[in-house]
This record gives sequence, structure tokens and C-alpha cells, in this order.
Amino acid sequence: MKTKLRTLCLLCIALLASTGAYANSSLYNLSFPNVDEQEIQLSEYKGKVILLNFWATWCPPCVKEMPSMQRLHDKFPEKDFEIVAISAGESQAAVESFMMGLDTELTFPILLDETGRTFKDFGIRGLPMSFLFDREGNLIKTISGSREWDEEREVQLIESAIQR
Amino acid sequence: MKTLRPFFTLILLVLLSSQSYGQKQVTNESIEDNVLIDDTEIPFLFYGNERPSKAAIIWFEPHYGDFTEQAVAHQLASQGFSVYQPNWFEVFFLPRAYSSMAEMDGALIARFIHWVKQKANQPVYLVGASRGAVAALNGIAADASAVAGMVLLNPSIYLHKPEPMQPVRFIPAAKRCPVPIVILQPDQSTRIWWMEEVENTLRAGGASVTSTLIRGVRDGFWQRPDITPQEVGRKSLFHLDIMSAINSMETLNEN
Repeated sequence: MKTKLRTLCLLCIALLASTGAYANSSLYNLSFPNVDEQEIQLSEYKGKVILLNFWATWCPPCVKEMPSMQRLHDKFPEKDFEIVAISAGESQAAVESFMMGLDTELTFPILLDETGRTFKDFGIRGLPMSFLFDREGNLIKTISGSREWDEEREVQLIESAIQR
Repeated sequence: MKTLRPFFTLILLVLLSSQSYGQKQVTNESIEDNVLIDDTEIPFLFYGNERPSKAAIIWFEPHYGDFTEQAVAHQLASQGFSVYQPNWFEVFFLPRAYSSMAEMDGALIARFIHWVKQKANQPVYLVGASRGAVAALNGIAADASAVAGMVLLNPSIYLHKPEPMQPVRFIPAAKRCPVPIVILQPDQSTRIWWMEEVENTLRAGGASVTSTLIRGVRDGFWQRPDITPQEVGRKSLFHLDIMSAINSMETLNEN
């Protein structure tokens, strides 16, 4: 009976751990190159609220939300909040040339997942897709589709994550 | 009058050049028609050709957009296919929504497929675009005997809209398909990361499944309102991709 209970407990723990994929250490273990081909570890943003955004240059709603994402980024101190935008399955050249053609200069990190290796881990089946993590790297919200990121509702969402 | 001569010559040249190299003219109009099956009226667009048909195609449209003529269906008709495009939303009184397709009665769809097969007296291929694949699979699950094969265009065969980090469920009919399937998948899509999962699900019912990536275009590029110049070019050739898919299934059926 004891063995059965122990197995059950272990199973429950394993299940709980698996549903919290990308909690804490998993998020901070991720690293991607930026458009300058420098490898960026997400652990660099430890202690900050992170909005992880997956996008692609060929996705019109992704492109549309970029300027508002920059405005959201500008609203919060660098020590509290960071936006990390990960381009989905596109080459460095494609992303760089796209960024050069943008009217808005993006000052938050744009990283490249050329092989789409994180898509399965995050279960991403549509773009844009965003994930909000607290200062400890725990996932607190998933956001499907595009947003006007500097609207009151989204700003409040970030504020409340910072104050948690 | 003499000054008009170059103009007439130009017109004549244009007319002649359009007939050159054996190019086939794309038929410009489809015919609205309907058929009564089991007391249910099924309205459809028919894209025909004067020549005897190579095969019949039933076009299952996606849940988005309006029920309109498809340029690619005209192209296929010009190449000798008879194309039927039923308005299933009207048949089943369902809204044009993601969830509607899964509610469509496969038995009635199967009976329509049989009617087409009987009328055309040719092999019948289904083309399922995006969520249209769900209605096509429902029909096959009810009765696959009249279907020679199926082409799926960026298929979405989930039971519900997928949520990130949540397991997905496929429609039950996805695992009950015994006919050959060719998937045509634009590469500018998150679907490319999930191709294997979709292929394996479809194989569960015995279907042979092959996939081809279409480079440089997005899902539904052949009917997007925000079409890019590259997609315009690809759209004009899209019927050739579908014909090649049908051709590969014909070969498979012969073997």
C-alpha cells in the first residue's frame, strides 16, 4: 500500500512539474541568438517581469502590434520589465532586413529561433503568441493573438505583474 | 482610318498571342446549381469544361471568408477537371465559425460525394482547405467508398481551437480515413512545426499521407485579401500543385 501511495505521489509531482514547463529554471535555461548573432541567455533578465513574444515577419498581426509593444516597453523602468520578441523560424537576414524597414525603432531584444525548437515546448500553433512571466520566471499568463500593448488593460497587467 | 491600322494590328496580335502555345482559357464563370439529397437541398458552384472530365473535385472551403468563386477552381476546370464547391454552411444552417465544421453531418456529405461520383462517372478527389478538411474527413469517415483521394491545404483538423501549452484533440474522423492524402502546406505558418503530428493522426485510419511545403507563402494564400506580390505569383500556379497531388494519388491507386 505504501509503495502504491509513494508511486502515486511521485506521479502527481511529475505531472505538476510537467504542466509548469517553463517555470523558473526552464525559462532561464533558454538562449537564442540576436540579429547581431550574439547568443542571449534569458537568465540575463532574471528578476524582471518578462513578456516573451513569438512573432514572424510574414504575420501581419505580429507586425502590427510591434510599435505598441515598443511603447509599452518605454513605460516601465528597465530594472522591472523586459520584452523579448522571438522570431519564429526565420533567418537572421530576413529579420534584420525587416527591422530596417520598420518605422519604429525597437529597443527591446529581438531573438531568433530559426529552427522553431521552442514551438513544441510552448505549444505554439498560431502567431502572435505571448507569455508573461513574473520576476521569478513563473508563467502567469498566456496571450493568444495581437494586442494594442499600450492600452490600459495591458499596462495594468504588466503593472500588477511587477507589483506581485 | 489609316491611323487606326496600328491599333487594329495590336489588338489582333494580342488576341493571337493569348491563343498561342496551346494555352487553355480559364473559364470565367461558375454555375450555381443544387441537388436534392434525402430531402436536403445542397447548393453548390460548378466549374465545368466542355471537354470530357479527367476527374471530379469537391472543394471544401474554409470557415473564414465568404462563399465565393475560387480562382484556383476555375484554373482546375480549365485543365479538364469538373469542380463542385458545395455551400455546407447553408446546408447545415451553421454560422461560418471555427467550430461549425465539426458539426457537419458526414453521412449527408458522403451521399453528396456519391452523387458527384455517379454524375461525373470519374474518380472523385476531395480538396479540403483549412477547416474545410474537417467536413471532408467527416464525409470520408461516414463512407469512403466513392473517394479516390484527398488534398488538404494547410489543414486544421483539431476538435477545438488549440490553446498554448494545452494538449490538442483531433476530430474523431481524422483517425478514420483510409484514402490517400496529400497535404500542401505553405511554409510561412506555425503549422509546419506540427506536420508530423497531423500526418501521424491521419495515418491512424490507414491513409497514406505525404506532405509538400509551398515556399514563400502563407496559409490560405490563394484567397487572402492581403495577398503579397510573391503570393500573387504562386497563386497563379497553385492549380498545378493540386494537379500534381492528384496525379501522385492516381499513381498510388493504380498500384
